[in-house]
Amino acid sequence: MEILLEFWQFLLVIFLLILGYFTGSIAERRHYKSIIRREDRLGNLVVIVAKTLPPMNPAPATTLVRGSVVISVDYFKRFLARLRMIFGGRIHTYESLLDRARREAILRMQEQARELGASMIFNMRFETSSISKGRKDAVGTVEVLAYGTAVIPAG
Amino acid sequence: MKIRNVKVPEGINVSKHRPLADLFVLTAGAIGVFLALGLLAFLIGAYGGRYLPMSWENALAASVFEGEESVDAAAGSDEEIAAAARDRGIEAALQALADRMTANMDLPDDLHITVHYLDEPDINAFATLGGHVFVLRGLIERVPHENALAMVMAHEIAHAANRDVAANMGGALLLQLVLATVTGMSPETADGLIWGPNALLLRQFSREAESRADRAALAAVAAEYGHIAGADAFFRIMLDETGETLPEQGPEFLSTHPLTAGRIEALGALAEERGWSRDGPVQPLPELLKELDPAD
Repeated sequence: MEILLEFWQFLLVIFLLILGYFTGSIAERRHYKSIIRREDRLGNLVVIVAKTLPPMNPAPATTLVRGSVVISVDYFKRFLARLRMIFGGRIHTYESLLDRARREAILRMQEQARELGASMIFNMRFETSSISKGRKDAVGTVEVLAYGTAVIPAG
Repeated sequence: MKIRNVKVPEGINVSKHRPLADLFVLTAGAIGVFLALGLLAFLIGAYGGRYLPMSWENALAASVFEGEESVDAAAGSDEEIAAAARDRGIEAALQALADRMTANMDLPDDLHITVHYLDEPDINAFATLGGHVFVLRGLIERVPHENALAMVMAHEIAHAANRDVAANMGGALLLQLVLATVTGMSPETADGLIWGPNALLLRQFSREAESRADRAALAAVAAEYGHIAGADAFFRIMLDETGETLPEQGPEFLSTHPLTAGRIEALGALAEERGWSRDGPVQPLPELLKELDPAD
């Protein structure tokens, strides 16, 4: 009986792998489509990492803008990553997770800036943290915060 | 100064890869490493078990068999008491036969064979730790004469003498440890996998041990009776039985014991090589054992 139970757990893993593979791929494809579309739309709202602004006259108003996002990888990618951690090498499956999270965070920050009527964001910074860190068997989940100083032209 | 955003290029931060191929290669690698580790653990355990001092094995066996009388003399009705007395008699007769066989065999100094009789219908006999050999009623019922029974008992005694039991247990124990550690499964589940019907590793391992025990047993039979007539009688009976019900259980690799027909041939070849006579008078079973035979 116990062996059956063990097999049941094994089957559950297979099921989650298949489910994760399909739902994960669909979610990722959709997300990238949305990211690329919005990047095109917000392309004229310039984001730079310089710490100081060139002198402007009249002096613009500045304010903090930020965008944060929490993204999780699917079970399939997590499984692959764990296997990869045994043998070493690049964890390809986590690359898209972080790429999506960073670009989405910038987009959200830009969306906030646009609502404020900003023309650009300078001194943009990232904070990345794993919010599943240390929790056993938790699916890899990251939070990315992008923040910067929005420049709102005077008048 | 003209500042503008560039379009984010795809395929730099996210490299193209085929996740399913990755999964396949990595899983196969992990399973391969795991199997190799399991095999190594088993072999180390089996080696360790085989060369464990006999006194340790005896001590372990003593803790298992302590206070256990295989034929229980518990008081009960007259019938039960009579049956218990009869079983003790059978056990003594089996022990006497075992003692005669061990006199012709090469046993470790502190290995003493203790025979236990089990009133069970299964056609089986087996050796366990510390030289404890169990013979089941079903087997005694089937053997036609003493020579055949002597062969089977000598075979089990040879397992004990070759330390096959300790080797098997040592290997299984270490394998169980690895399974439980690596997969996190309970030791009971690991145990079930190791001793379960799909335990190919254990089977392959014991197949060699069976052949070795067969050869030692045949030598003992030849020394005791001066010929090997009837030694393979039990195998022939099994061949008839399995030939009807289980048509030789598939490929030899999957079988614990070398396929019966193969065993009979191997024994014949060994007799040829050593020049043992194949003809001679067979001894009848001791009276008490003969009574078990329902055909009589």
